[in-house]
Amino acid sequence: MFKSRGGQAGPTRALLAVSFVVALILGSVPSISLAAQDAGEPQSGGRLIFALNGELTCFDPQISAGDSTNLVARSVLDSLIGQKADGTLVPWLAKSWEANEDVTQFTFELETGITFSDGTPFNADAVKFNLDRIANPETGSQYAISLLGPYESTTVVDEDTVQVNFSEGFSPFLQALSQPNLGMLSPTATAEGQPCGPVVGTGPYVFSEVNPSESVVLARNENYNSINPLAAHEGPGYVDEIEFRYIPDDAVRVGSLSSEQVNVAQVIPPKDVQGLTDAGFTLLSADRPGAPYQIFVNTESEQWSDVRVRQAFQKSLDITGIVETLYLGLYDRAWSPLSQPTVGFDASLIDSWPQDVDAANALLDEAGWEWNGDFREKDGQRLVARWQFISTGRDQRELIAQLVKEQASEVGIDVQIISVGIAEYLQAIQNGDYDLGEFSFVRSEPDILRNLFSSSNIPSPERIAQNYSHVNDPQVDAWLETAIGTLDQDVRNEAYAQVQQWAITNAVVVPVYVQTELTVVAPGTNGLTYDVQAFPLFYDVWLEQ
Amino acid sequence: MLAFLIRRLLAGIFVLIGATALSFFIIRVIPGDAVTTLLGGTPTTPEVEAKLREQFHLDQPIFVQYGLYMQDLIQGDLGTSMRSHEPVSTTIKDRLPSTMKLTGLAVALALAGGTTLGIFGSLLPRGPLERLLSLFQFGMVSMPSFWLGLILLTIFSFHYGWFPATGDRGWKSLVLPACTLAIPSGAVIAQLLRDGMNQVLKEQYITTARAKGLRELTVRQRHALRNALIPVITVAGVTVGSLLTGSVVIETVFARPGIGKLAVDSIVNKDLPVVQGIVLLAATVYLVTNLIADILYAAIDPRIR
Repeated sequence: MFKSRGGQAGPTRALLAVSFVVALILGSVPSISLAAQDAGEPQSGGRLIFALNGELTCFDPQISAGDSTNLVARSVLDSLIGQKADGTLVPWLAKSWEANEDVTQFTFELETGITFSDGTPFNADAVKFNLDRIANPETGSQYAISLLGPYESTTVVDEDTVQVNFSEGFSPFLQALSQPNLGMLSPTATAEGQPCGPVVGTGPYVFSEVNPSESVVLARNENYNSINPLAAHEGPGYVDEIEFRYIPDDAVRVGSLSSEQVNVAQVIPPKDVQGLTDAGFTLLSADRPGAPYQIFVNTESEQWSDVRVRQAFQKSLDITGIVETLYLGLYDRAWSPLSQPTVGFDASLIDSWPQDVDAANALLDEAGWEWNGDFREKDGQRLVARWQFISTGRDQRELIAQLVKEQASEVGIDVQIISVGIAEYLQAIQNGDYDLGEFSFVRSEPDILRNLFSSSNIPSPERIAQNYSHVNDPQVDAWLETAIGTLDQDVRNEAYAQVQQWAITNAVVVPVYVQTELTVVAPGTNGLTYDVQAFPLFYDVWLEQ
Repeated sequence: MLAFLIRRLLAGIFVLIGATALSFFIIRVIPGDAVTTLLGGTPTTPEVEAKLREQFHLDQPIFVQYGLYMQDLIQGDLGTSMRSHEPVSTTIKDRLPSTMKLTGLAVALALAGGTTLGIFGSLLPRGPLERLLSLFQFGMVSMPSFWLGLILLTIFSFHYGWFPATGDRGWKSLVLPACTLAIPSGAVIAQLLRDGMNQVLKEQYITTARAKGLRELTVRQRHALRNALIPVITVAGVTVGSLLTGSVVIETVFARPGIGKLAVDSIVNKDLPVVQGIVLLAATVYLVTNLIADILYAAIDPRIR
């Protein structure tokens, strides 16, 4: 999974190799690759300019679900728990934790002597303030609230001990705590601030300048006294300031980087990578955990309720070829509703469903679909797949759709691409007005499968949810329940493996590609790394002066 | 003249009410629900959904929503953005100066460059040079602005590094986007003016003026230009309005904070209060610029007074 190009240092490579082996033993594959150029001792000072592809409309990750919001907030907020690149959970603001037998109660021992950048002490009261705030519907949390699941309450045991209570077992809570969305905000500053305004945390940087719709600047927190388990050093950060500049246009982002008007740019199109690395820039590539980009087949739609039709569609496609053609070997193809770097990914699915046009034709023959002209028909009805497709231009997905349409037509399936905006798309999904839908989501926790396949998450006009396949299967629900009610990683992995295999065997999804973050770094910028969800970490970054 | 202005203003108020009502209903009728769009991409809970619907009155019948909206609007309250939780008036106020600077400079450049080129073109004798100029102007009119922007960026920012590629800090960051915006409009004005001049110069009163022995320059400036300018002013008026909203592409390419980009982002994301605020603003701008154009006609052409 290592795809770093440019000056890799010997010792770092050894370190990577070690962590890779450790990760393999632990049963997950790290998605990370470090840009540790051999440039000597870190130096303090300077302004790092990072080109973001998206704009920040909300600075509070407890409210917003935006990728950019999380990316920026990560340098400002610390979490109770950290998640290493290999998926293991390590102490951060919480020194230690334990859970009761049925995973409904978690008790955390907190680090002492840590203060928020506004001077407010970090303690048990602050933890309770944050979790209660997220769980309160008045806050308007768009995503964080769902990470709390069946949250009931937080009890302050003493100054440095909190107990978090759930109405049902909820093991994904620990990983959830490591996300910026459940990062710790200063109770004082949050109570005084505007909703969605710049947040105050215990992290190594603080918000210093907001230029709406243009940029946001973080300044070093000189009084930083927290510890960061994901970092290589202690004490204050190296660079004085980090400027996040919003540059939505790909070509302009690439040009700004190549002319070194910015130090780092994210979401670099695969076609531009070669040119930049040839010019001495360093590529940082990381595969995102969670739900890879995948096509969902609506099992409640009339023609597609037949498993043979779904399997035929799945087998008609040469996903490997599509992904290699479009992404020049920089993205991996997906094999499961979980992407490869996700904890709990079932590696037995790799290579388990190659393209097989003969088998696809046989399945459709057996199901009674007969050729009539260019497509197949049954009872005078053509075999049609209405694909609700979001036209964002992102990752050249339009071309995926075209190639899928072409390949499916070879076995007689008429894929009709309905290209719409996001608002219209979501409405069609809620109305159930589709045969194929699409979705991807980043989270380093297999519980994301519950969002995709639990019968309680079927979208309807009254319910916003992501079980786009309309899977309603007691066995699947049971596996998901088992996994959520235990911290035993073997039991969880086994249950999640069952769900993944079920999803592929029943062809309710066709996973396409693993979302990959391609970030390119200009010469002279060192120490940039990714966290487990492929968001860059800035605390160790330093600039050659 | 005063009666003319009052008539225009009264009509303007009705246009404003009509524009806000139309945008209010259209954005609610077209497919896609605001709360679903905000929450649909991530796992969420039904409680949050219900809370948001209540907060933005989306649980009410559409006419009740309109009543509540107008009630707030009359008190000067444009509402709160669904995405940023910021008052819409603040959002617009933050973005407006950037767009105004850009549009202001672009209009000035387009008018200055367009008139100069137009007059120059009308002076040229028929021949290859005149045809070349015409072809050049035609090319500039038809060039998509994002493409033009990228070309200017590649040459003057990425290659020579004379100007910053993006953002809104200082006059330097204004040059490339303003030129990108001004070039097509300037070319339209140049073509219009040249055609207008050529037309007017065939008129009999020009012959009369020449026959009176007036100098060619006086004939052109006093008699021909004035008449040829009338369609130019009409177009310039419309251009100001369209530059304001048409700055979308420029603002995206040059990553500038501005109203155009805000409008598109808000429409795509169904941020209803912001969309309504921008429609109100755009309608006001169109009205004011048209009013100014009307006054200018009257000043230039006594027949209209």
